[in-house]
Amino acid sequence: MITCSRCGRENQAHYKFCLGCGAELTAAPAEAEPEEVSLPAEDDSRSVTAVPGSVTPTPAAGLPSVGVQIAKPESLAGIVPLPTNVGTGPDTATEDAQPAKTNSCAGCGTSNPKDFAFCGGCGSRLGEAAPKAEAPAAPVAQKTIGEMVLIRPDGTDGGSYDISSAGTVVGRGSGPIFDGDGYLSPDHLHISYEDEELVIEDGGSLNGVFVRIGGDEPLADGSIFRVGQELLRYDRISEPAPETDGTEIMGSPNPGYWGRLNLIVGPESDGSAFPLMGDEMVLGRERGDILFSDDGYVSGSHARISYKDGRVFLADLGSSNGTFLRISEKRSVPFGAFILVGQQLFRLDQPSS
Amino acid sequence: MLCPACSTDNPDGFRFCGSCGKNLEEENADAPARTLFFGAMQAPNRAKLVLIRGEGLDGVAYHLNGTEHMLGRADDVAIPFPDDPFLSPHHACFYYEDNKLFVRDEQSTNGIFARIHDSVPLESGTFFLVGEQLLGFEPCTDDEASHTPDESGSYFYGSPRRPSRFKLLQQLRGGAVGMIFRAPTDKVTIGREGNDINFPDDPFISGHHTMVVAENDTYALKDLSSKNGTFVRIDGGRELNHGDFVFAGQQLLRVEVS
Repeated sequence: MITCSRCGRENQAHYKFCLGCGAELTAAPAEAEPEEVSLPAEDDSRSVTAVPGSVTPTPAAGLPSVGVQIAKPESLAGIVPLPTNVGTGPDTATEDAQPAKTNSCAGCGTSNPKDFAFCGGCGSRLGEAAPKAEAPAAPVAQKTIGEMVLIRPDGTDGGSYDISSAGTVVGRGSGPIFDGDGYLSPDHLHISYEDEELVIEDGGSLNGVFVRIGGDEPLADGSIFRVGQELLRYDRISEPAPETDGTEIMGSPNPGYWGRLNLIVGPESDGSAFPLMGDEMVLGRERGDILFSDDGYVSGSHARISYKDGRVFLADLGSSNGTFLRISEKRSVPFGAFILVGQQLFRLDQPSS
Repeated sequence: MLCPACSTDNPDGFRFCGSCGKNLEEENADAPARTLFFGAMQAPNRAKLVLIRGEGLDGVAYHLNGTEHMLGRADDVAIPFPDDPFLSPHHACFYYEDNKLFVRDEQSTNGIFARIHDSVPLESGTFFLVGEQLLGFEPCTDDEASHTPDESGSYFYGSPRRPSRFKLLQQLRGGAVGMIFRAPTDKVTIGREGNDINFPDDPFISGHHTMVVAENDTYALKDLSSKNGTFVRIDGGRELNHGDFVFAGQQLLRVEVS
C-alpha cells in the first residue's frame, strides 16, 4: 500500500493517483516488497517478462477504508498490472537451489521429478531447449487467421501472438508473452476459426476466459463477471418452498429480491453479497445502487443488471475499462473483441500482414 | 419511535405523536398479562408462558403445570398454534429439572429464540433475530488457498479485500440468502439507520439495535438497549428465568415464574 503524501489516504501499491484526493503517488511502497516489474520497457515488443526469483503473488493487500471520493482519472484501458512478485510457479531462477530429486523444465519452469522424461506442465522433453512459441507445424496448409494483441496497462498495444487456422491453444508456457502471468493456467484458452468466425473456448482454466461485453448479455445462475478489480457472481434467489412436514422456513421478509451478486474473494470464499431487486441495478464507483467506492478501476457508473420477464441481463454503461463476462461455453467473437485471460487483456485482430 | 397508540413513526425526541397527539413520554405499559381462562389455578413454583404477540389473544397464559410441555403446530401438543406455518408440528419442549424451567428445541425447522441480556458468545452458524431480520453469523477463516497455486501452478484471482474476521448473512423467508455482509473491522453495528448494516424499513428495529464484536479468539453478540430486544437461537436446552422472552415461529412469549 502507498500512503498519499497530500492527504494521507492508503492506496493499493499499483495506483498512480490517490483515490482520495487525486494527487500523483510517487512514494515507494512502505512494505519491503520489490518494485513491480510487470510494466514493459518502451521498446520491448514482447511485453511482460518473467519475474525471476519469486514465487508468491501477494494479491493487492486490501482496500483502504472509505474516505473522500473524488473521480480518479481513468486512462487505463488495460487491466490491473500484476501484483508484485508474480512468478511462473516453481521458479526457474533457483533451479540450482532445488533439491536434487526435481528437474525444472526449461520451457515452462514446472518442477518435475528427476526420473521424468517429459515435462508435466508443457509436455516438452526435459533437458531440451524450450519449445517454440508458435503452434507446432501442422501437416496441411495452416495459416495465420488472426492475432492476439496484448494491451498494456497504459492502453498501448504490446506484442502479439498469432492465431492459427488449425486452432490455437493459449496458456502459461505458450510463449514469452504469457509466461509472466501466474494467473494463467497452462491450458487456458482455445481459439479456433469456424464458419468464418473466431471462436473462443475455455480450456479448463482456473480463472476463466472473460470477454468484454457491450449491450445486454443474458446472465444465468452462477454467471461470473468482472468490473474493475471486482470479481462477481450472480446467483438467482429461488421461490420459497415449504419443508416436507408443511413447516415454512422463517426469515426476513423478502422485499422483492430476485437475485444476489456475490463478491468472489478466494477459491472457496465469497465476500459480501448484494441483493438485487427492481427492474435494474447500476454498479459503479460513485453513482449507482451497488457502489465499489474504493476501486479506482471502476467507472463512476459502470454496468447495469436488469430484470425483464424473468430473465436477467448484464450491460456495460460505457465504462473506461470495460465489463467482462466469463464464458462458460464456446462463443464466437468478432475481430476487434477484447478478451481477458489471466491478468492480461488482448484484442483479437485481423492478421497484420 | 413508534407511537403505541397509532404506530406512526415519530422522530426521536418528539414528546407527542405527530399523528394522533398521544403523549409519548408516558410509560409504555407492557401488554397486560390478562389471564383470561377458565379455572385459573396457579401452582406454587410453577411457571407460565404469557403470549405477548402472536396467534390468539395477547395476554393468554399457558400454565406449565406438568413436567413436560410441547409447543408446536400439531393438535395434540400442550401449547398448540395450529395456524402458524413457521412452527414445526412438535417444535420445542418446556420442562422442569431441579425445580427450574428449561426449554429444549425439538429439532424444529426454524428453532426457538431467547432474548439476550447484554451479551452472549457467538459460534459459527448461530442465527439471531433483530426486529424482523434473521441474521446468521459465520467466522471467516483466512483463505490461505488464494495465496498458494493450484496443481498446475496457477494462482487464483479474486477481488482484493482486507482479511475479515466474520460474515453476517441475511436469511430470507423460504431459506434463501439475501444480503451478506463481510465485516471490514472487528465490530459491526446493526440498526435502523446510522449503522454498518441498516434496515430503515423494519419497524421493529431500534436506531442502534445490536452489535457483533470479534474479540481475541471469540465473538460476541451484544444488544444495544434496543426496544424489542435481540434474540439468539437456542441450541439444545436452556434454562429460563422469570422475565425471559422466547420466540418461536411467530409467537412471542414471556416467561413468568412465581
